[in-house]
Amino acid sequence: MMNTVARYRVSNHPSWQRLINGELQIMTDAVGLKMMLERIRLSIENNPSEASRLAGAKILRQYFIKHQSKHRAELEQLRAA
Amino acid sequence: MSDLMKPRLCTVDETKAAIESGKVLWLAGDENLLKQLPKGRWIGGSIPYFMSQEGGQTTKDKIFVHELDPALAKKIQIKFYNTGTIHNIAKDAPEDGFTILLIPALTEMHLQYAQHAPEYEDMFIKPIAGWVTGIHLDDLGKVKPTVFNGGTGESSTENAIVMHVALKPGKAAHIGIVNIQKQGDGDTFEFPQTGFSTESVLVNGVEQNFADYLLEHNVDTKTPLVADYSGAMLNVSFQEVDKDKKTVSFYAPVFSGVEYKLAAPVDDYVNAFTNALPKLDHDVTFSCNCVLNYLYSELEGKQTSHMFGPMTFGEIAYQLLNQTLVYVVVEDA
Repeated sequence: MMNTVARYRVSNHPSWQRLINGELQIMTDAVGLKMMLERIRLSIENNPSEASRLAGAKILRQYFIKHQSKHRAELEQLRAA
Repeated sequence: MSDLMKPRLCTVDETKAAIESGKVLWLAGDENLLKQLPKGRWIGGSIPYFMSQEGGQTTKDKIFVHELDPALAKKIQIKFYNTGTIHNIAKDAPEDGFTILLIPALTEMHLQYAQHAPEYEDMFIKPIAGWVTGIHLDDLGKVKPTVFNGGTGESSTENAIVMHVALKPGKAAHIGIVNIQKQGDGDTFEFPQTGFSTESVLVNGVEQNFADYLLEHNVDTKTPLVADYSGAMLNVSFQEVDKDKKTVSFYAPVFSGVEYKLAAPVDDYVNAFTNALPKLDHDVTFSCNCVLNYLYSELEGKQTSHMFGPMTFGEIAYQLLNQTLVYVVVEDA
């Protein structure tokens, strides 16, 4: 599973941005992930720069690496997208 | 056989005995009771409203006790945070564990955490749950909400008290919320500034005075504003509509850039709540619910199933919430 997360390179893998901008929606019951997604979206809305988008992707990736054992279903949705 | 205490209301003597036996406890009760407790591995906060196995209760004579299962925890750390250090709370939290946070209501700490917690480093990465401590509503203006550091015996009416819990290998904490409020199908509100009060609001994109709007539309302010955070419904409860000053205040901040709607009406809280409770494979390690649910839904004497704990002035699941039950479970990682 680590490889699943690791495959998504912070700098350019499109799945993170698709998840952030809502184009990719995943089913999850993780309230922390839902809150974090909303905060990242707001942050990018307030500062729509490439650096801001990359920072958001980095945080998301960090989250999934930390919680990958409990988020297999979410990672599978990311992988399949 | 385990002597793990089920979450419940205890007498002062029962609580003292639990502390003295070395148990790790999260306590909620009247300030004058918590003051009587010996030093030990506990944190506590003031509140006289509870949901217990006997139903909703208002009492200044008992203490609600949650015990941390020693089979789950590797290490705990208890510490105060002030407004200059609270931004470190998630960064300080253990990599594999969770944090219980108690904040006294109506303080700078309360304001700061409510408005800025989502920006703190490592927020949402590590589980943080807790509640805003309060007082009996008859005592408003007479006494202050308080938190206690059982390790040192100190109390504070300004700072937050925290217990960081590092879990044993193979365990992970999970925070859940139960919010029976859903967005209604009415107008959409956006606020120009993040804060606990506002004069203006954008109603479907058109600016107007929010107090005027609420009065003209005869809005029941027991009904919260609800925002949809990627499927998680988060409430902001109304505190007051000031007709003269034309301002509206809230129990949690509204955030600029977030779209809110008034909640759809809930006819029967107890039934709706019971139906919304998740089926859990593990015991609930910690839970709390909102005093506004207790008051508005007249929960005194009524039972709301297996989630027991204090009824609080604000609930914390990472960030500050309103009119929401928060719980923590520890599962196999």
